[in-house]
Amino acid sequence: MKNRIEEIRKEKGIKQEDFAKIMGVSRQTISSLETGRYNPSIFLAYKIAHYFEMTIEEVFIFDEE
Amino acid sequence: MGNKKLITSILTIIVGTALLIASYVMESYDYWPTLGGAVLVVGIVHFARALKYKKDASYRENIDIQEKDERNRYISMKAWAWSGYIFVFLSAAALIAFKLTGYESLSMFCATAGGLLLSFYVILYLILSKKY
Repeated sequence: MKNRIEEIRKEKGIKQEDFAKIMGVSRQTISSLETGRYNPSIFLAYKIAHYFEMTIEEVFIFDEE
Repeated sequence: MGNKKLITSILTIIVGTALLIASYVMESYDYWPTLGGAVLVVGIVHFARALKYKKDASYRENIDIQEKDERNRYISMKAWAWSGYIFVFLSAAALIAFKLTGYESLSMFCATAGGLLLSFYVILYLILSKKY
């Protein structure tokens, strides 16, 4: 699944490491999410979208493939 | 959680030391001292880590995140699953190889190990499918 995490995070001027701490996950997890190598759980997806004050659909782009 | 780790490591050190002492008392110098030494070393390493976990706040935070991290858990589950697949295929290959070369007992051992693993898989699948 594609997402806009990196784009939104950079817009907000947050470092990957700091964002990881806020989300309570490792920096590698954020890196894997941003590169699309790992799809988050619904819980983490909600937490990320909630932090960005957006809906899940605004952050994560559903791709059937 | 820190105390639990500390207690576990102290218990490991005690078991390792006991094995070492017992092996020298019973004059058994092959298997038991090696096992005792290994357990003692593991205990010491775990004790050092548990002590650092208790005293160093940033280390504790990092360890907590690493342990709870959903990607780490996912990777760990994948690794266990792949280990299971590989073990079953390897035991099946070894079973055939040992059978063909006449090592009946080793062939039986591989069949039992692979069969046990598959049985565990089926039982756990049934239990977990009821849970989720």
